[in-house]
Amino acid sequence: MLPPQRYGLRLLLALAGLGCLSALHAANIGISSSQALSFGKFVAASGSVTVSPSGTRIASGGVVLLQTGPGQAAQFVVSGNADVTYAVTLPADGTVSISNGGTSVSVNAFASSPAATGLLGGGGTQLLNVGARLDVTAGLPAGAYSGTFSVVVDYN
Amino acid sequence: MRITTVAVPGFALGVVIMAANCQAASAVATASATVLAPIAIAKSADLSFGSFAPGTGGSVTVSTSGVRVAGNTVQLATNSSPTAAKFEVSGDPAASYDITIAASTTLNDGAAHSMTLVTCSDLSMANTTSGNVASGTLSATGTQSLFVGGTLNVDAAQLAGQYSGNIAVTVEYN
Repeated sequence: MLPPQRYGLRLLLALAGLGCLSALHAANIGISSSQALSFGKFVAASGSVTVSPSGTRIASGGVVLLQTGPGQAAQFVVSGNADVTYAVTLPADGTVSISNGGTSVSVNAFASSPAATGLLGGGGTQLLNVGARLDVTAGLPAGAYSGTFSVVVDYN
Repeated sequence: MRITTVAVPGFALGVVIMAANCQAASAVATASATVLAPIAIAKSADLSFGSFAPGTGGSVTVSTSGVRVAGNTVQLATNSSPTAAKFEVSGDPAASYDITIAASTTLNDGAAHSMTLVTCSDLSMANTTSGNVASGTLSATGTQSLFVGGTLNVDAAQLAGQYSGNIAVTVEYN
């Protein structure tokens, strides 16, 4: 026979393990990128180009957008347990920029749909769309700019 | 005591698995943009109405293809060669753009005498004599030509001399 304090310890261990066991039956949450974020083509001026999570592009300031380069929102596929909510963490302002190799431009105000909390459907997947704002400066050299950013998801 | 010693490492294993299962996932995506130089326009030919005599007044029209026609009793001099204005627009291949052309302008002789010019334009040198084109699309190589003609209103008492003025043309991506 174990002393009573040992039972208490084992009960505690078993309870701690329950959360773990339920997780063991479930899939890990996963996320993969299925479409890149693009701000499209534009003529630079002091202002910005914003692509919404739905892919709508708007300019502010003197930035002139070209129809021939419409831009697009990023898209991710989140997968895991069916009917479970998860938290979305987007890059903070001041942490992402894109570059032409010499000049950098800041990407801020990341936004997603679903926003802070997503819900995996019956199939255990959900599309996560992400947009952001590119802060453009006057005299930005013409050229192709690119960079990367990360999106984190976690079960709630 | 034997049972207890077995249970402790079992718990340690459970903790490790739980930690692995509760890990967040992340994905990296590319962000990109294409910055273009502003669209450009340059004049390659001036609009010229050539020489004429006013007669009892009327008009002189030069089409976008450079064909000159007199209105009313204006008499055209045959020893002058009229030309339509031509502009070269350049920018991003296949891009569409808006065109703004002053609908009318004034030609002066430098001595306070003037004539009113009403402009006309097209992108195909199609002998256009009225109306202005409002938008265009650059070619696969990023160029397009713009042709501008016009109608000059000539007064019966129009003084002889050389008259000139400017036609402002603005283009912008749309």
